[in-house]
Formats: sequence, C-alpha cells, structure tokens
Amino acid sequence: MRILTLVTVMLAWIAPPAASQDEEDRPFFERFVYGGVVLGNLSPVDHGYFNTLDYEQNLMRLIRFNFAVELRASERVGVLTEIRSDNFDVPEPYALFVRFRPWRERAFDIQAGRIPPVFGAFARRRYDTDNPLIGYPLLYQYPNTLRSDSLPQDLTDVLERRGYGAKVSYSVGNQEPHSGLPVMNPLRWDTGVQVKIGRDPAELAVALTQGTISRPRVSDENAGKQIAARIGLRPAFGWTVGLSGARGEYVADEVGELVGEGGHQSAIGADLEFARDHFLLRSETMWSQWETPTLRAGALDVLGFLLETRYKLSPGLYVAGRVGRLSFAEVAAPDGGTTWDASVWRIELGGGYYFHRRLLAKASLQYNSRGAGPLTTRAIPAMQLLFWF
Amino acid sequence: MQALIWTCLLALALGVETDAVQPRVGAIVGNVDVRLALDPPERRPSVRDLGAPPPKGRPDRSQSVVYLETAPQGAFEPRPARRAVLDQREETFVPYALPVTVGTTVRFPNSDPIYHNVFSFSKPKRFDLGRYPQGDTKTVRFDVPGIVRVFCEIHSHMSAFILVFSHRYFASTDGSGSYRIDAVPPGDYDITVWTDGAVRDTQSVVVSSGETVTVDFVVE
Repeated sequence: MRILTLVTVMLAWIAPPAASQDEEDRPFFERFVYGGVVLGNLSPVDHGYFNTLDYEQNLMRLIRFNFAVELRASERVGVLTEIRSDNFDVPEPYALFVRFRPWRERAFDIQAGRIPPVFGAFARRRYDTDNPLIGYPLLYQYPNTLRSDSLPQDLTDVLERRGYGAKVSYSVGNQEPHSGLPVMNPLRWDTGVQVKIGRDPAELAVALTQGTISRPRVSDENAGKQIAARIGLRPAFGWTVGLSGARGEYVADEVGELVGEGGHQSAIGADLEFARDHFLLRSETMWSQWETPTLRAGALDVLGFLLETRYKLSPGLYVAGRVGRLSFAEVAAPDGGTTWDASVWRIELGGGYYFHRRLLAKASLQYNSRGAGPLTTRAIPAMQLLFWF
Repeated sequence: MQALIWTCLLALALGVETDAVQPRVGAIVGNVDVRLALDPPERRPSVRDLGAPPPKGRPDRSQSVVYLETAPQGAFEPRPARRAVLDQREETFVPYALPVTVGTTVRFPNSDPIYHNVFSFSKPKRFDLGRYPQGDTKTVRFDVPGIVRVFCEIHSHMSAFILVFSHRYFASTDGSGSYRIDAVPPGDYDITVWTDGAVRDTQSVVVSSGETVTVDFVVE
C-alpha cells in the first residue's frame, strides 16, 4: 500500500501542469467521479453448491454494495478504486490502482496497483448491469477441487473429491476445508503492473501480477509472478475478438516447501462478441492447466466454454440465455479412466425489465448437471433487483 | 350582369372582412443568460477498463428552449409532417435539447466510430433503437406532447432532451443565448424558459400587430 501511495504521488508530480487541461482547472473535490451498484439476489438454498464463490458465499443469494470512485488528478493521471461488500461484510477495496497515460494523444496506458484482469472478457464487463443473467459463467465461478494451499497426496485423493470443490481440503498443507479454484476469478483482482497499447482496431494488454487468474492476490504467497496478456481485435463494426494467455505460480510456499516444489497455472483463452440492433452474442473458450507437484500425472487440465445471448423484445424488456461447460481432463484412475473432477454443464435462461433507467429486475432459471458431487443435478430459480447510480 | 355585380360586391365584402380579422403577426426575441453552473455529465468511473477512455464531447447544457405557455388560436391546426435531427458525436447528443412539434420524425444518426444504443423510457415515447454503426441512422416519430429524456445504453453519460410541443411557438437559444419566435399573432401570452431539465422562469408578454417584443431571461 505504501508503494502504491508513493507511485501515485510520483506520477501526479511527473504529470506537467497545463492551464488548458480541464481536469486541472477544476477544484480538487470536483475531480472525483463515482458510481455504484446495489443488488439483491434471491434463490432457494443450493444444496449442490453449484454457485459457491471463492469466499464460500452463494452468488444467487447475495446482497451486494459496490462503490467505485475515480480521482481524475489530471488528464494523464487517475486513481481508481472499487469498494465492495457482499452480505454486509466489511467493505474491501477489490480494485485500487493508479492509471498513468505518459502521452496524452497516444493510446498507451500504464496501470499499477490492484488492477483489472487482462485475461478473457467477462471479468471486465462494467458492473452487474452488463451481466444479462443472475449467475456467472462456470469458467468464472465454479470451484474445482484444487487449492493453492492444500495438495493431494496422490490421484486417489483427488478422485475421492470429484464434485466437491465448494468445500475441499487435502492432507498436505492447510487441512481447513475451503472452496477450490475457479478457472478464473473475476471478483478478486490481482496486484501488479499492466500496460495497454492501442485502441481500435487492435489493442494489446500485458500484466505482471502477484497471483494467477484462479487466485488473484494482494500479497504474493510464493516467489513466482504471473504474466498475462490479451490481444483484442475489432475486425468489423459490432465484432470483437480476443486472444488471451496467462502463466503464473499458484502453489503457496507454505505447502510448496512441504513437497519441495511449486506449481504453475497456465491458461489460454479466446473470446468473441457480436452485437447488432437488439441482438448480442458473446462466447468464450478457455483451457487451463494446474501443475500439481504431488501427482505423478504432473498437471491437471480443464477445457471450458460459454455461449451467451441477449435479445431486447421491447424498450426495457429483454430475454437472455447462457450455456456453459467445464470438461475436466481424463486421468488414469486405478479402476479405469475418469476425469479428475466431475465435468459440469450449466444452462441459464431468463430476462430482465427496466422499471426505470437505473432500476432493473431480473429473473432466471439455472439448470446445473455434473457427473458427481453432493447433488448431480439442480434447477435453481432466482430473482435479482439491481439499482445503479 | 347582375350575377357579376353580386360577385364583385361579395369579393369586396370578404376582402374587407379578411383585413379586419387578420392583423399582422409579431415576433418575440430575447436572450437567456444562464448563470447556473452546468458541468457536462461525467463518465462513470472506468475501473474495469484497461486504459483511459477516449476523449468525449461536451454537451451544451446551457442551451435553453423558450416557448409560449398559451398558444394562439389556430396553433393546433394540422401541419405537414416535420423532420429533425439528434446527432451522436464524440459520445455526445447534439443538440442537448431538441424542441419539436407533435408529429415530427426525429433522425438519430450515429457519427461516431463506435456503437451507440439510443433509448428512452419516458412516458410520451418509449423506444430502443438497438446498436447501429457509424453512418447508419434510425428514426422515431413523436406523436404525444411532453418531455422525452434520451440516453445511450452503452455510454451512461450521454443524455439529451426532446421537447415535444403541440404548437409551433417555441425556439432554441443559440450559442450566445439568443432566441427568436416568429409569426406570433397579437395577444397576451405567458412565455417560459426551460433549461437543463427544468422550467426556470415565466414572464407575461403583450405582442402587438406587426411588432417585435424583447423578453430577456436570467437563469440562476
């Protein structure tokens, strides 16, 4: 935090004063802009733990306050933060970074601090208003049975826990049960430095951070860093295509030291968006691999995708749907080939209605199916009321 | 011959009658001095962006609309369909306030190299034009008088007003705050100034035959 403050002050000092710059003509307190979202999700108890978040809350039964502030110190320097409280927890800054644009006219930005993720697309959609449904895609939420601070002794250990990623622990390392790792965590942001070059029709973003896409960190729990990058292209009006890659060490030192080595998460992703008139289509595919030092197999893979669409029926009224899949790789089990975690399908259908420009009500029905676990199928109706400002 | 004489007398009588009921119209001119601090709407914090957003335009929120509260007789007669334009430029609606008469069709061209999605949930007219690219345009016809607040679904800082009048006695102020309402029949009227979403002032004015009356406003 001290480093972040120091960087902020330094960058603010570097930015030269210019009388013509609007931001610097304004009184200090008028340089702040803010916005936020208040939402409440309501659904029955999920005995299958399909919607568990990494901090063991159910996404579909949640009250969230989200408040974002931006200090536009000058045309070239800004300080941004997003403070969030879920279910009346103590509010925490999930984003806090400095944005610096060295050349005013060039699309070249540096961001340092707790920064937005460059990998994939869903995690950067603005606020919850840009999620047409209530649930999240499996890729961005569903916890598998791996953890960074608790390792299985062997493959049998992993196979015994298939489908139980919402609360899992192993005998090596931290034995307190906790949720496993999603492919990518969109709610906790990583800490580091990110550079973005270009805007249209192509842009490149590269980030060096403490954690990994599965486990973003404020302070590093191992010596390794993650490098992540995304190339975004807009080949034609309405089309956006992105290619992402990331690799970083995810095994915490506290358990890595016990087994004598760490492990990396590697991921590759592709995203696509098409929008025209009242129609919107989004799709993402990701492959991720976690090196697991205690396993002879070495690494465990997953391949997943999401396909999401929204169509506006009339002013303020839309329908939406999303289908997603996580296919865990097959491993050589003692009693034959099986996947190391239970593969899962999710289909969510719903819609929303704007009572007012800032007040949105959503309803959805989510159907989950997986090969093993506390429940193998579960249909979850849910409602959401969302107000943004 | 008799018929011709009667026709001439009738024409003469009608001519005299017409002169008697149709006095020459006047005009109302003036200036609206907006002293309110009306900063352009800001973008929401761009916390999830990987870099700074591109520069945006500055809507002229001091642009005012001046109109007669009570319209003269004949103002509500059907008129030919009119057309108007509300452009989208540099993430800004231009103009910020667009006064039109009932029955006007407004074009919404997209002049930006990015998508916009114009919509309104206002009671006089609910519409959603969807996303369309630069160079394309969509139209909406306004058939009910009232104030229609217009937004962009993608850029929450973009907003504008369309004021739909049932008569034609209104005018927008120009960049210097001046306005002019032409062809006003002689009479006593209340004249109102509207600025940035609110009625700011109303004054009484007497328009005499063929005269131009000056009414200035200060909005503070």
